[in-house]
Amino acid sequence: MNRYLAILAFLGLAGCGTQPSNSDALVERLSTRSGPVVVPRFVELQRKGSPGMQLGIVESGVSGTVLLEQTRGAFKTWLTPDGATIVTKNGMLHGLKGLGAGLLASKTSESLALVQSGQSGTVTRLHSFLSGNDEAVTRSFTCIVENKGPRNLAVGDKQIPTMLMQETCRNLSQSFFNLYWISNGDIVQSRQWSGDFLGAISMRELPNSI
Amino acid sequence: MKLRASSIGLLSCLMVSPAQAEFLSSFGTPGLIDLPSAEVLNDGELALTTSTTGATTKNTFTFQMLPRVYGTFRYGTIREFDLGVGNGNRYDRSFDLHFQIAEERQNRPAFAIGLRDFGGTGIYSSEYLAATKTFGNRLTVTGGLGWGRLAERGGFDNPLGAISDYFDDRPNVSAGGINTTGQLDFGSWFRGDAAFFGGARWQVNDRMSVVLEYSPDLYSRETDRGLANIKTPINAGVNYKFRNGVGLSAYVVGGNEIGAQLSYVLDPAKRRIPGGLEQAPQVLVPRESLAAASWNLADSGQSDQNLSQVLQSRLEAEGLRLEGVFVNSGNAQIRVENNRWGVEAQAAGRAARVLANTLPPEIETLEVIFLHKGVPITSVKTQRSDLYDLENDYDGAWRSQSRAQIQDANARTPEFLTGAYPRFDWGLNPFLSLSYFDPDNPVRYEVGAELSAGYQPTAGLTFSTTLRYPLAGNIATATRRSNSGLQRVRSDGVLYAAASDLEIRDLTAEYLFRPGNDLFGRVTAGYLEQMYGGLSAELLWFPVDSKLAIGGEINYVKQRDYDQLFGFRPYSVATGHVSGYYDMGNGFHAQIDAGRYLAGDWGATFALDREFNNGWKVGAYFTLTDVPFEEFGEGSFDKGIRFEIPISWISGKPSRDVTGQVIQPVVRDGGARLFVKNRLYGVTRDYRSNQLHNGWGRYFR
Repeated sequence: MNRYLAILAFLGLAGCGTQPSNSDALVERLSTRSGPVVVPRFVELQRKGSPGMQLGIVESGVSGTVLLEQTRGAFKTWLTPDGATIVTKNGMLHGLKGLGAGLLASKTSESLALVQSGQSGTVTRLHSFLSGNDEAVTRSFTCIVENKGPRNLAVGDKQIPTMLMQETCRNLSQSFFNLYWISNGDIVQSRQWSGDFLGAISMRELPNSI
Repeated sequence: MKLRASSIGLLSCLMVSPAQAEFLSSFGTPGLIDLPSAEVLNDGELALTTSTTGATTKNTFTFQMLPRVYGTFRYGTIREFDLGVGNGNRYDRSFDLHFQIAEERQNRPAFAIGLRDFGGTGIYSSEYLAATKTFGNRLTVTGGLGWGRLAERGGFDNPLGAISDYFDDRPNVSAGGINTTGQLDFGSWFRGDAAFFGGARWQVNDRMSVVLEYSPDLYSRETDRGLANIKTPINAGVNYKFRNGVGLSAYVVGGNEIGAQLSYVLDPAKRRIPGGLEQAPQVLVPRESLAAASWNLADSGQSDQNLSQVLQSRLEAEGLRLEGVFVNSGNAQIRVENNRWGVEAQAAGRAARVLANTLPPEIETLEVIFLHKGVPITSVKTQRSDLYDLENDYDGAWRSQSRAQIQDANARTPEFLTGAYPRFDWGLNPFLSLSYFDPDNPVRYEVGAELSAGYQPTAGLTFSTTLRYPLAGNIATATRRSNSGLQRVRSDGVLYAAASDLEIRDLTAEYLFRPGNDLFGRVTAGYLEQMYGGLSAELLWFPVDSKLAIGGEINYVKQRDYDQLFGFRPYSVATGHVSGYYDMGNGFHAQIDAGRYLAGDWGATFALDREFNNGWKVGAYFTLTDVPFEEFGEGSFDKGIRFEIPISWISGKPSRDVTGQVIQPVVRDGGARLFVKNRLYGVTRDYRSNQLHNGWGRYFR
């Protein structure tokens, strides 16, 4: 009898205390999430009315809105509701933190120059990924940029004239292609590769209100 | 929108899809059905297999320790093998070692040499030379020469007999009786008749393959006991690999014995979600904007206190507990305790970001000192301008690593933040305790509630206790008692488990301190572990960027009562060791401890672990002392394999916790070491330069 009372008491109190434990983390991982997680950082940005961007993962079709958290120089950092960030530089995808393959940073200046100007050519780009062994691994790709001609893009209820640029990249073991819709030298919509884990991500900056 | 979680919902199971197919034999090693091949796993991979053939079940753990070498530990059950003894089943432990001499090339097969069951009880004892070649995309052919159990059928005179007559006959491996098990029977390696074996695998599609082999294994010991009936040397089987990496096989051995197998290969160096699930770090804000931050404005002398408070709450949000802040003329130093980040370099990066986003613009040098229980260990200094330059640099991880200054930090904290001490922590959690290899029951368990509490009145001094209350289990019902000829310092484990009420696992006062540069000290007194209480003192010399650390420990302990309350038994002993720890690079760590063990025996323990940066650890050790093998008893000397899995690898979220197990084939009394919490090397190595550099890829993450 005492043993059963002890078991009941324990089940009620298990996990209590100020010390973290192995079982907490495992239970959290294995239990199904009961609803969308929204971090206070994101709520704060919503309250301030930060500009937003439509973000989607092409292969799975999942999409949603991310909000601009910080601008420093040419870098913009966008925050997802559950606390992951996407860093873009002049519209080119630069890094992902908390999302997918651990893209730490990139060097895309050559691609950007051609894409913005509408010219075709061959460029090199670099991507640094976080390996499973916590090392930063930099990969370089050779890319061919082509101008695919004018396209009309539907934004809200307007039609914007844009120029479509395609960039096809490869190295010894990986290959991908990116698409950019350019209007007045700015990337207004794009589909860019984020790494092997998630694949291509589509981005479109929203007009200045959500 | 649940962008992150839903997009990876597909991969929510605990497993990672393998990049290539690896096929495991029923013996748990790369191979065909019963036969080994010359193949190996990818470097660092672990393979887990359970297979059943007729009356035999084999559970195997294989680790590819080096690109060409793998080792195997196997625990098998053969039902009704030993009728009349215990429950009649034979529980057999065996070890394998395999070395790939040459890799496969276009016009040459792969060659390998291996030892199967070398040094166990010898049921599967065999050696082999194997060659494997793939033809096209689908066909893999293996052929080889076997000795021992792999030469029972079609054996011919040993070709090695041409070198020496020594190889012509094979001695009976189990002739020495149970007390000689555990010794390496290299006296019988490659001796006796040899026979050919061979087979082929045909890959039908991405997931399925069929296997055919010609096996010289007659299962003679099993057949003698009526447990097997081998009609033909041809074995045939089918493998299917599921999307999540689990492999399922079905096969027929000898035309008569049906078998099935489940296997799984995992790569500890690959995380489930490579970038990790932790929240993104705070983005660096423009430096000048901080001049206007409210806590940085000089008004009515309140600015300092507000700065500390803001730092404290921001660091707390990153899982770092702030215990000291010192800011003057362009330099800032914070002293933190890392409670969250298993990769310490990531903790350093997060702390640096908080400093850069909080301190007034004129502060340039940012110093983060990591503490353990209030005792400083290492200082990581970065220049604030470097952070801004490198945050988004494609080579930022490497550049920040080369610019950071990592030094020993042994000066005591001059003044702690108010509220830092005294501290009180407690936790109530379930525990699971496992005990292996009792011949009557291979795995025994105990579950229950564990209460741990700690009180720290000041830095370095901790009063703590762990209490356990078992609620269910079958360890206590084991009937075998120790037959050890030595003082029973460990082999009475069952008697301790039989006391099934409240147990004081430990109750100690512990003092950690820094005697000087690169030196660490520890003194612990009280009930140190389940079976012993007393006094323990340790000193460690460990320079911040050294691969070598040297320490010495001395203990005086008395054996505790079986009920694990406050009483003691009469036996007491002084033990101590001198230890050398060496980081060999590439993740290999060696450790040698030499000294006096609990039974009064003198000797040394040799351990080698392979560690991955994410915290995975697989290793093995053995201890040789002046206790003769016969006196030690079954197993001959203490040895074991151990592994640790970081919880963050399973959950994807950062954590400092690990779960692990030491598997000792036999627990006896020779070479037994006292267990004390917070031995210094384990406590300090995470913050020394080598470990910090290992994880620096995550600095900006």
